[in-house]
Amino acid sequence: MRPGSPVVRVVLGFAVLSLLSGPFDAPDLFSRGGIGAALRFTAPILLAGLGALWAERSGVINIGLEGMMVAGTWFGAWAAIEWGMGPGLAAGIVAGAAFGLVHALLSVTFRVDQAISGLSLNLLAAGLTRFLSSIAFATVPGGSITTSPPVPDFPTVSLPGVEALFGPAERTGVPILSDAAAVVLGLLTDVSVLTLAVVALVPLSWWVLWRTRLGLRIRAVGEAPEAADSLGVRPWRYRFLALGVSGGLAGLAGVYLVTVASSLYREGQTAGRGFIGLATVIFGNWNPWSVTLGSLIFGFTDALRTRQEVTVGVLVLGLGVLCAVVAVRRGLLRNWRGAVLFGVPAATMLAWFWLVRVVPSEFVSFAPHLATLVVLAVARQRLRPPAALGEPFRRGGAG
Amino acid sequence: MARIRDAALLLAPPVAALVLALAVTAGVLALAGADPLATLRGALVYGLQPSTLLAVVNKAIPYYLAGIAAAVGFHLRLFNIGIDGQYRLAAFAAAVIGSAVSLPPLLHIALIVAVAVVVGWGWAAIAGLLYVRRGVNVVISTIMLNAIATGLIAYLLSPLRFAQQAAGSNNVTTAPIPESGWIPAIATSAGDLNGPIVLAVAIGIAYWLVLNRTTIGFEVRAMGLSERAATVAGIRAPRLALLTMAASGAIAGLVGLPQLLGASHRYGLDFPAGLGFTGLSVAILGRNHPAGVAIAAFVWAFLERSAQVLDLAGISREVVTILQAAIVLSIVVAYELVRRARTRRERRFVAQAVEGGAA
Amino acid sequence: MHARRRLPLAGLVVGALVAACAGVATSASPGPASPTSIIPTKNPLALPTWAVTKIAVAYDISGRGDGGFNDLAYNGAKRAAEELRAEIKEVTARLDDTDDDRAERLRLLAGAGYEAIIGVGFTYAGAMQAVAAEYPDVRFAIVDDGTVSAPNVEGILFAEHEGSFLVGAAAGLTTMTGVVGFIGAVQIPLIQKFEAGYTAGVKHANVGATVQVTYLSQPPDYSGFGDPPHGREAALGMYDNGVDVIFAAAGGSGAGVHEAAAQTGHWSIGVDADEYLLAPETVKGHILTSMLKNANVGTYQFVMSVARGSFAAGNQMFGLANGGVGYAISGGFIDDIATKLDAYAADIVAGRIVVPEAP
Repeated sequence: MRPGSPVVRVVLGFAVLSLLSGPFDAPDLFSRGGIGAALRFTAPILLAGLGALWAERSGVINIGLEGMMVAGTWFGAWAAIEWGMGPGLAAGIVAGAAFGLVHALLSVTFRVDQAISGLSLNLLAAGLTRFLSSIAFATVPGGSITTSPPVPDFPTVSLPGVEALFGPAERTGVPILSDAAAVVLGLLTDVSVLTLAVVALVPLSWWVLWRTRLGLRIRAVGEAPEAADSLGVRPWRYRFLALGVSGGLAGLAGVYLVTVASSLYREGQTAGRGFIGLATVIFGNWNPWSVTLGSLIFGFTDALRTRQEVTVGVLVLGLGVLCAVVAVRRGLLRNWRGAVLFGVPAATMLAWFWLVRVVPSEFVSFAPHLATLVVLAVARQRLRPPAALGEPFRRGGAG
Repeated sequence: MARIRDAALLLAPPVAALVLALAVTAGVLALAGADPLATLRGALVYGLQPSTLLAVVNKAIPYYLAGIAAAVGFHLRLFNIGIDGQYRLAAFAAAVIGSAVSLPPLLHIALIVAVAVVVGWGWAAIAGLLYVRRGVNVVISTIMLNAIATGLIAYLLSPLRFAQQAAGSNNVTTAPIPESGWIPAIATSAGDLNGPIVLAVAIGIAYWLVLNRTTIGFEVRAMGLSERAATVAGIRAPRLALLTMAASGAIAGLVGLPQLLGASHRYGLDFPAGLGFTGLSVAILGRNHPAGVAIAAFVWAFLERSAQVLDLAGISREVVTILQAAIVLSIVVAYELVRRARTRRERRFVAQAVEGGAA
Repeated sequence: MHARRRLPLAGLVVGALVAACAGVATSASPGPASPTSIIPTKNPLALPTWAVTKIAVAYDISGRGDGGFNDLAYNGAKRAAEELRAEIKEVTARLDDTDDDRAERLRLLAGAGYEAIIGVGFTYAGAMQAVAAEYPDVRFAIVDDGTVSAPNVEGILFAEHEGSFLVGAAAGLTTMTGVVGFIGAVQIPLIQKFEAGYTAGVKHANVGATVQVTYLSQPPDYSGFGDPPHGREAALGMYDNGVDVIFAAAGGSGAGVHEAAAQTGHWSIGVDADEYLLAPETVKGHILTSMLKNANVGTYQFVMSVARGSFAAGNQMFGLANGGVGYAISGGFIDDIATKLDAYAADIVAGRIVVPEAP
């Protein structure tokens, strides 16, 4: 395992934060409940990210993920109330996929600018759902123009034996050991079946896109559509498929929001998660593992700051320490510019923590956004988007 | 014959868009159980009242500014989702500084405008820098920066810092700007036209001039049309991207000024929010053209205004949102179809000319 | 080149005009009211003060259906409407509304013959001040704001801090861990009033107890009023870390807090309405009490006062003394401490306890 590899960095970061959480009064930093919450916050963003991944791998930008998610929330909630959980799940996915296909129709068949098509779909979804609510929910007890009656939930499960195995370790209170145990317990106990399904979709997406012929074709269409077309792989067909899947994933995210994350439809529930999912794809350099990491950064920070605002302070301390470590390393290598670049923020954060300690709650609200931005800015990467991303395909060249 | 076809192609997109939009709306209304034609005359009378039209124009001014800000970015396919955060931060800063000084009228207004422009410019420049130096996509960074701007303003807009709370009021606002910092309204027979419309018109003209009569405008247009060709010609993409983002932010900073200079004269919890997203839609509808965006802003504001009447008549005002989305989509589709038809015609023309020449 | 340039412009001009007509065409009035009834007239008939035939409720952004505050305001007006056999109408707001938009909304209502108009939320203050002067024969009320002064405007204010003090005392007396929680929807002065009263009540009843505070969102992001998932996660976070009673001053998000209470076997406290009555069976048993903000009393009394000719302009404070705020006893969970709470209430009314309004 190379020193610079992401896995080592994550483990190192975990260790540092775990050591700090004890003495600085942030037991919730790595706790069973906190990890469970982090999962619940991450899942919808992860789904949106996977949705964006599928679309963009086929060469189409999907800014309409937010609208597809909204469609998923509304139709998922409505069908679940009318007929139950299963139909609700199906309806949400289908609704999202339908919007995805409309996006495909507009951007592939009509060659409308992909961003415009996406933005318009967001607009349409917002108006449509409020309008549908006025017909379907407003007249029903427990519902209104902005909310639905309660929606049934999915069952939660716990992996047998995990509690017995890791429970004692968690209770010891030894810094890194108990936190690691808590993480395992948080991931494997009291988890909704839908969350498990979402997690499974990550390796599934990887496998389909990188290990099957279908996936190869989709990616080919995203990289070199003319070449693919000349070989008989029709770009439009695979883009339609990819966008349908993309919309379906976003719709699933919507269903997740109304069933697992909460238990009703509420207007505005998606709160920008579609866009953040889109961000994780770009952060994730268009591969599903990095998409997961990106979603986790946002979801984890969001969970932390929602549960206990003080934890954010310790997070800042941890960031400061990590920056200081990097700064020192760069200094030792005589990379003065790098040392200053990391040293200044490190010094600021450590000094602030020493003097002030408390993050104002107004600032806590944007902790996850700032964290994502910082990580994006710091993690230098050679971004390699699919070569034909964003360009409509025209047979015969320029049109 | 060709003339007639030309004219038909000219009118086809808007007509097609109208037909499609109307069809969608009629369907939606029928679903709602309302008769689409029932009160056409009454609604028309309301809509074309001079006072309503004036109110629509006033409403359209910030939409226009937001649209131009978005359009600036759109030329380089930079989606400035951050207009919302930029204009609110700019309006807040301008309100705080504007209320803290007292200067002769023109200077005072100039100061407020300058502060707003600089803050909007700076906030967008952060996203621009991150894009150019670290490759962070503008969409992400502006979304994140919006959230950060919200938190910053929430923190500063407190009686403990830069704001005040009147007794018996639940609203927190900055101190009011003295009258020397007000732009007077333009009195017309129909009512008061919001003074800052002058600013909006000036920005529109400046936008057109810069885009079409300056080197930098040429570079932006060239880069927008073909990045490869432009780079070969020596135009540097990163520098241009940064300048464009910053310019977009500078204009975005002005979006809150019609409200600040012409109406409320302070920034509070009730300051209009969400104008940035309207700007994106309006820019798309207006196809990034200064006059087009103006018309689009007017249409948008008109629809928003008429939604109030819908609400009163008992119909969900979201019918208007659906109509807006339908219009945007149908106009864009219609233009694409027409463009395709025209390209086919041109090809056929060229082919005929070549054959004619060779024969 | 020329044709291409002109196409967008001409198309847009036509498209705009046509789309404008489309927008207008969708304004349908399905009810028995004639088309001309939605056109505002400057001088409505001067009605005798006992004839109230039309009542209007204009909401802030959150609209109705939260099971709480807005619903209560509506219910009071509705009860009055039923007793008077009058018509009642509701209209909603948008995030990017300006004072002008809100004023237009009130103007449309007044011009359409609504004699009693209620603006729910402090954002209506500026608009109401202007419109009230234009329609001196219409009676207005604004909820949660005391800054409007006009002979035909009543300010309906509540002593939220007093009611919150009582539920805070209830929490302080019930907690077994000594740590209680407060979850506010949005960090604005109105909700901070709840926080201030609550904290004071907790400390008064239980000197050693501590209060953990969190707000779900920052303005102008008002999603905190309707984000049950966030409410649930915030509550779970608190319960996991030692809190055993949480006051959810969070509108629709409270549903999530109650869910979390049921899930972890702790207590939660509702707000505005008696949440015990509306909660699902699985959750009911964990709602200790609710802080009652009887918005329905305020609106009912306003409408009836207009109808009976006893309307009085100025601010009406609804507090503990006149039953405007209080605490719920449904579920019987606080029967044992009710006498203590009533004693505190008496102290507050008598002035022996002064409850802070800001944290």
